[in-house]
Amino acid sequence: MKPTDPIVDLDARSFGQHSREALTNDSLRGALDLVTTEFAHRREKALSLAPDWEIWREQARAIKAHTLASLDTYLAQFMERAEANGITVHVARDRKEACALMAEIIQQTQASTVVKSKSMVTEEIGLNEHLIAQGLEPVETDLGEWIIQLAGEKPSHIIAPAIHRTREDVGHLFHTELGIPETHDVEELTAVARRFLRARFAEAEVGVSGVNFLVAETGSFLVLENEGNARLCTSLPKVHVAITGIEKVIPRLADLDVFLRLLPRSGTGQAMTTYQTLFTGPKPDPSAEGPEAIHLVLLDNGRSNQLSTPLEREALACIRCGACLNVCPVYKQVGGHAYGSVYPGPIGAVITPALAGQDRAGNLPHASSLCGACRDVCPVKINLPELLLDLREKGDEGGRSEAWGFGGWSRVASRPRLNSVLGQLLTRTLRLTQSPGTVGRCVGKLLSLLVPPLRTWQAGRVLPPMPGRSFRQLWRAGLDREEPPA
Amino acid sequence: MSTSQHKLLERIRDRLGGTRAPELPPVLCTTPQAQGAETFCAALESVAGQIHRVTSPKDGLLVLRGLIAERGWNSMACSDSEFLRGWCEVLGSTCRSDSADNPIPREELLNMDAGLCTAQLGIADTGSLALCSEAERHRLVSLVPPASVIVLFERDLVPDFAAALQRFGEEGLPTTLSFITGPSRTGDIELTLTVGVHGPGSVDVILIGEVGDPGE
Repeated sequence: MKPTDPIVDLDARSFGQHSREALTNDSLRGALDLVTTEFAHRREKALSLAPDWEIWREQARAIKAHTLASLDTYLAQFMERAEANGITVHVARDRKEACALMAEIIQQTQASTVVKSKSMVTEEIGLNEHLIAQGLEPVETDLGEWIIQLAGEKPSHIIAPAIHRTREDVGHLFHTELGIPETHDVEELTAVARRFLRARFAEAEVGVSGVNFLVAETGSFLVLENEGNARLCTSLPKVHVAITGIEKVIPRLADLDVFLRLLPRSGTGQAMTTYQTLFTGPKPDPSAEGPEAIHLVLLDNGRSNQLSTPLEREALACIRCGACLNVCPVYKQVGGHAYGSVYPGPIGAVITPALAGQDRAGNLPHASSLCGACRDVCPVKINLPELLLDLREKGDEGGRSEAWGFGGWSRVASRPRLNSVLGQLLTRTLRLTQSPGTVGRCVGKLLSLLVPPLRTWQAGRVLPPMPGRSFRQLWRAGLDREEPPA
Repeated sequence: MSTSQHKLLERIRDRLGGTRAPELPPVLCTTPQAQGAETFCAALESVAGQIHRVTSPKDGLLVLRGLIAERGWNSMACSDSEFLRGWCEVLGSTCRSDSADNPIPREELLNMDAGLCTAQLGIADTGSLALCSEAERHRLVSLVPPASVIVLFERDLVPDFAAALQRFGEEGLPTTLSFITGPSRTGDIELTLTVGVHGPGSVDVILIGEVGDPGE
């Protein structure tokens, strides 16, 4: 068993190292390319049929801005009404409290097997590891989550956790872990999951689920899914334990409409997921269907610290659709595991420092080119580049060295003479590094020692040959002659 | 309210300081683009649901018998819906009713071929069906067997999800409200769409129209 380090499984400070490893993994990059491109394509197709998209986004943003700025009021209302409905509401300040609470609730039922549907919050708190340590057996039932549980991995995408694995990978994994004949047929592999997990559903006494939205007005909560495993987890066992972050509350039942227009379209490009289940209490009488008891754990884990400023509050508006991952030029190349957090991509780079502490995830905000594609696709209009810049500024070394670098650059660039002299010097030096023999190598070494970022840059790239003449020289010559390559 | 709940609210108030919240916008009024049975059928078919339009309950039963024969179902679990009681009797031993007094044992349900129930509401815009837990015992019947047959009356169609929420807001929410839009699906392996991973792999909706509808 790997050490339990919940949200940051790997050390997020080594993003650079992990990403370099990812870049050399051809199978991973092939899978990533397929998935991110296809997800983005499906989303665009869904949006082309939704002419009011921008109106919906603005509405959702405004609802979230209002709700988060009055979170105490709506959470109080939600807790009061949910309890009146017969739902037991617990509060956990951090991951340790949450894990202990969940284990206690489960142990009270005398159950040993726990069937789970997909929940990013349980990944965040490292619930499975904790339950196993307590002698309980958590069984992931979402196909993607089950695959990574069998493989002993963490999710690599918010909505498609096993997407870094090819069908061959999965076929081989099922063969070795389950002892079934190896197949690479997706339909057959899916049928295997149904068959194996049916047996677990049949015996399970407790079901754990996540939550997509808490409705303050009615004291209800909504769970979205496509597979039907969340319905099974919350219908067959005697006890349903749900867990979610405190930021998931929305004021009115009617507000679900706009969020359900945005979420599936942004995530998978569906107009509606296959199932939405709205829970407003356990079964009213013993002979009815469904669980006897519903427990709901509301998790803080650093979220309340993000409420202080309007900009930081924006990050709490996230509805976990995963759209920003699919368009991020960094995520698209390195995938989720490189981030070392269960929340990867642009939104992960923003919330991981808030949830795990900036000292442990300090350099994640630098895993971005600040191109703004994430902000453009975000269904609740979170200003991700602004948040990343804010975090960089607050971060230790990164912010300072960046400020120093750009300060120096602006001083040079605003002095034409100096700019020209330094430019020529740089060009000549670079040409020297490309000259054959010992001289070139030595100058190259010296240069990368003097300028550490250059060393990092050179590690994975080859500098193109320097042209014979500089842009300035070409400009003076009138830019009319074709310059033959040097 | 418990101590931990109080502490959480205190913490939130402390972080928010004197923040003045921006106004809560009024609920968005969306104009349904299209509505009615035609839209419902097209939407359901677009997510691989199968639709059977009939104009009377009698014809609905004929459709069901056809499905049972065609798909070779030997056992069908039926909810305790008042309306379906007659159908279940006609179908005889193939159809087993699930009731509070005489529930189908879990092990038996896990091995049945199909499930039959009615929906309390249909959403035209998305082809979705709404199942209210208090209306009948259809939570497991609509979920556990590999095939699902759901009966919907055309008069229970609403244009869109917003209208459905409004209806439930007025009438009050059941303890569990399940919206179902087509068969169970997954794309977790290479985004390849596969149906029937955990829930039913087929959803057949028998839509009973107004014309000639003798009522229940």
